[in-house]
Amino acid sequence: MQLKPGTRLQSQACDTQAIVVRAPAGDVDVRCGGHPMVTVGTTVEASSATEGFAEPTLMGKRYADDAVGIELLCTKAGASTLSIGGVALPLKDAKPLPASD
Amino acid sequence: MSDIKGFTTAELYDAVHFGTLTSDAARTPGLMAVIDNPTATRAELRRAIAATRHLPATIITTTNVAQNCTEPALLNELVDVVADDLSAIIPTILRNPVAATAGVLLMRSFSPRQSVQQGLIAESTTYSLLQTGVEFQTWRNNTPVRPRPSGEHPVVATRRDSTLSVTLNRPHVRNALDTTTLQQMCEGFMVAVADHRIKRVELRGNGPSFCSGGDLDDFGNFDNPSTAHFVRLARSPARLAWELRNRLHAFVHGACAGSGVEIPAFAHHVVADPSTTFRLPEVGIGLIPGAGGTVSVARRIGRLKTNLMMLTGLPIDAPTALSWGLVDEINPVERGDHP
Repeated sequence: MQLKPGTRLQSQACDTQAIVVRAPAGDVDVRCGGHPMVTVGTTVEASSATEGFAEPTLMGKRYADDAVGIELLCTKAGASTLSIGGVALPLKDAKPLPASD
Repeated sequence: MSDIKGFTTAELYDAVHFGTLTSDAARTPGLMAVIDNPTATRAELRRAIAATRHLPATIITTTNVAQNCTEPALLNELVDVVADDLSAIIPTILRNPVAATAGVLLMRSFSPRQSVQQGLIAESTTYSLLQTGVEFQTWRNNTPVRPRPSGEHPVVATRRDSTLSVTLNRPHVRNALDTTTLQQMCEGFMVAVADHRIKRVELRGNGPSFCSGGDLDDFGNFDNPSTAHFVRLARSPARLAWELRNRLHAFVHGACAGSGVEIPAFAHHVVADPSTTFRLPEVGIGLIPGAGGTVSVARRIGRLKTNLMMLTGLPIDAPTALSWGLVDEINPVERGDHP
C-alpha cells in the first residue's frame, strides 16, 4: 500500500495502531501479525497472528527500517509483530538524549 | 543590612536614573530594593517602571504598603514580589542571590500574551546560564549523589478507546523525574500529539506524591550548559503538555515540587487531592524553575505570586492553590496501583 506521513494504520490481528512518521516513495507491504495493516476506520475481521509474528508492540515506541525508509510510531499497543513483508520491523535504535537537568 | 535598601517610588527612580543603584546592583548580586512607602503618583510609578525593567535587583514591597497604595495596579507592575513578611524571602535571596535575581529578571518579561514557546526558550536560557554558576556548583559539590534506579516501568502509559493515561511510576523516589522518566513521559505525550483521535490525556502519579520534581541525583549530569539548552528544548515535556493542553487533565496529590508543579500547570484542568502541597524550590539550589514553570505557573497565578513561590521556596496548600488558580478543583485523587 501507498503510505504518507500521518497515515493511521491498524492491525487485523491485534489492537496495534500506528502512525506513519516517514514513508518510502513506492508501495510498501506493511504488516502486523503477518497480515497486511489497514487504515484506521476500515472494518476488519479479526484474524490471529501468523506464527513467529507475536512479539507485542509498545505504545509510544518507534519502529523503523532505514533501508526501506519507513518509520512508524505505535499509538496503541498490541500483541503482534510489525513487519515489512516477512521481515520484522525493529524498534528504532534511538540513542537517548543526554541529561540536561 | 547593606544589600537591602528602602525607597519611595520617586527615590527608586532617581537611584536608577542617575546610575547609583544600577552600579550597586552589579557589584552586590542579590540587592533588594524595598518600596517602603505607599505614597506615589501615577507618573512616579510609570517613570519608575520604565527605568527599572533591566535593574538586576529584586524590587520588593510588603502587603501592607501594597494595600495602602492608591495605585495598586501600577505598584504591582513595578515590584517583583509582594510579601506579608519579608523574612520569608530574604534568606533565599541572601543564600543564592544570582539565581534569585536572574529569576525575577526573567519574569519581568512575562506576559500572558507572550508566546509560550518564546517563554520556554527564555527560561531555558536563564536556566543554562545558572548551571554554570557558583551557586549551583556549590550546591552540587555539597550534595552527595546516590544514584537510584529508574525502575522497570518509570512511566506507565495505557490507552483505552480515546483516553490516554500517563502515570508516573517511581513511587520509591516520589516520582522524581530522572532522564529516563522524562523521556518516557515525552513518549507518552507524543502519542496524543500524533493521534488526534485521543480526546483525553490523564496525567497521574503512583505512590505518596504525584511528583517531587527533577531527580536531584541527575542534576549536574549535563555535558555542557550551552548544549543542555538545546537538549532541554528538544525533550521538553512542557512544550508537549502545552500542545496537548486542551485534552490534558492532571490529577495531583501529596508533596509536589518543581516540575511536579510546573508540568501539570499547563493542563486545561488540574484536580488536586486535599493533601496536595506545591512548592518551587529551585532557587534554593542555585537554579530557577526549568520545566516551563515560569510560563505555566505564571499564566495561572501571575508573575508576582510565581516570584513569591520561587523566592520563598515554601509549600502552599491545596486551598491556597485553588484560590490562586494554580489548580481548578480539589477532590480526592486516587494514588493508582499500576504494576
